[in-house]
Amino acid sequence: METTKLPPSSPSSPTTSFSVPSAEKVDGFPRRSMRRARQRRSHSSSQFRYQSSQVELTPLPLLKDAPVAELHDLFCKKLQQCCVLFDFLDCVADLKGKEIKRAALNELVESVATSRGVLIEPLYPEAIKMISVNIFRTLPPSENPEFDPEEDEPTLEASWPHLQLVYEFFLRFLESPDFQPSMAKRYVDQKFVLQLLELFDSEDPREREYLKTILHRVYGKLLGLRAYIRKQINNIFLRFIYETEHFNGVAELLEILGSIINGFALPLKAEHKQFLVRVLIPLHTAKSLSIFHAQLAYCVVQFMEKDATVTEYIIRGLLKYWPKTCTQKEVMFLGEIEEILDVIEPSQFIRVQEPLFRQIAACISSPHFQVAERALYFWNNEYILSLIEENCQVILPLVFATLYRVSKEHWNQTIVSLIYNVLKTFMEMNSKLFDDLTASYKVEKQK
Amino acid sequence: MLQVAGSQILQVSDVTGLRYYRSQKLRVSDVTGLRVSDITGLRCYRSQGLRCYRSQMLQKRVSQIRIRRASPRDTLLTPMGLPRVKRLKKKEFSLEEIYTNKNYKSPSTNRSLETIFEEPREKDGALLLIGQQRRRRLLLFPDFTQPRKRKRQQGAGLPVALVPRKRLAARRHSNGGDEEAESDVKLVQRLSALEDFLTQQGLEV
Repeated sequence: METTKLPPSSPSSPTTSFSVPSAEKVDGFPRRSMRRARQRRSHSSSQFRYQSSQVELTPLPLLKDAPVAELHDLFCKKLQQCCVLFDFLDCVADLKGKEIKRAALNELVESVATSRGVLIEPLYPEAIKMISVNIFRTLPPSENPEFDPEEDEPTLEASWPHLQLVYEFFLRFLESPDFQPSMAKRYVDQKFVLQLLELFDSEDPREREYLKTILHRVYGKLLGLRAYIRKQINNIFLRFIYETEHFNGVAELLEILGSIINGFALPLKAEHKQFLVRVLIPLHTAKSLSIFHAQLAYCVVQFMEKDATVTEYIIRGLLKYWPKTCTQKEVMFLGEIEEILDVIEPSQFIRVQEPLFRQIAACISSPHFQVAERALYFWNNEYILSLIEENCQVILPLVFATLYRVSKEHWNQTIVSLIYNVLKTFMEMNSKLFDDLTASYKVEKQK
Repeated sequence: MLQVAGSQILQVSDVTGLRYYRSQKLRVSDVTGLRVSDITGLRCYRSQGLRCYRSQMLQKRVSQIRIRRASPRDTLLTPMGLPRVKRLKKKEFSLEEIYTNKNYKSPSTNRSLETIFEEPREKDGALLLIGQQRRRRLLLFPDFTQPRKRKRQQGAGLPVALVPRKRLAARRHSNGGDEEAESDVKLVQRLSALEDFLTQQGLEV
């Protein structure tokens, strides 16, 4: 397929990006020949004042050799050295300078991790400044606009050889026994935290992993920032759900939230319940649910274990957002429902059983055999079976007609076998009710 | 291992029978009565190591089609025809390898975080903001086909809910297999009676 060319009268050069007509797609994917190797064109970057004021780094004495009186001063000088940024578009350009910085960063990491008495007050602003200068940057647009985290290789951060050490330094700084939250909070403020959160959109999973642990520590230790962090995470999720459906760090943020929810005090605050209903439940509607479903389901179940009264909100919410066209998501939803039912209290089960089993009946009659199978396997769960048996009078009438009809109509023999097992279970539970329902079914059909 | 939630599901359009693959292992179920001529096309999604291909398959029965599980590292190209990125498996890397990200290693999947207490907890005279135990903050969906161990009981226990289940279990196992066979017969009798009734009345199921 030729690159689309503009008419000769156009002054611009031909564009290399265009939408792929559906005829050129195979099974919905662009043909191999359509993919162009994306060339990273080396412009003079606004981030690197490289050409005009190139700073030459000179190696400083080692921290381990410095006399005690000079240690802090040397530490500060090394921090300042590490504020010099290098251009990684050409990864191996100015290797000497990059290596000096890398060695300095390594030393700083080692010093904070092993030495006591290093973190004195004057170092705090210098350390936070060095961290900020290195990590806070506008993330580049994705090289692959249709990046699928499950299929594609992520675009890795080019400056990772330095960035990784800066993150490592930040983490050790926060975890140091000498770390003083009261001092740090002057510099790790709301503006800092907001920029930190934006970095979660990085495509590099290593960066997100560091950010997750770092934010976890910041949230844990700086109490004054907690409400702000929760609010900003809400904003990120709401923007993700309702506006962009793009954000690479949803799973990592949910993991942090899981550790926060697990530590909620009782009774649950209204703010947290609102977060569950307005953010966590609607998060299930995202197309990319499979990427963060494990973390999201963990948060949901944690809420239930904290306060059983939220169960009804959760189940009704999931039923409201039940997938209508995506069977893959339907199977995910059923998996989550089983986990929820596995921890549900019987009194809560009674409140939701009717709408729930209507949906389960609909899933059983799904022509997609994996959906039907997943729903039928609920009867393999001993606890769920005990709940069903306890409420047989309500549940059996909801599912009987569907079970019988599907046993006669479904194309898949495994499904038919599973249904027979379920019908047998119901018959054993309450044979009189079973016979009554059979009689009602006949009457219904005669109408 | 593949998770059910994350696996790509084989979807079939216009098909009257299906060969399907369960996550975690390849399992083939050949459905009787399948006519391959009914299949107008197969849409497959790549799963770990599963190589699928699209074909018309007009002359072969589905049960004769072989889908080989190829090792994902054998090929130089990804299924979409792009060059597969080589990840080096070693501990020491040269400068060039470091600066060109060839030493990339995926973050460990065994990630865990400590609980953060909303209200600080007192322990041994000190106020704790963060718990000491690290835990994985994700739900690992188990294989739903396998019976599962009951998680810890809620509240004061579930005497009411458990008793009926025990009765059912007791009924099932009290006479060994005879009880089971008897249930099968009873079920078949009831369902056949219903079916006969509907047939006689000229009613659809």
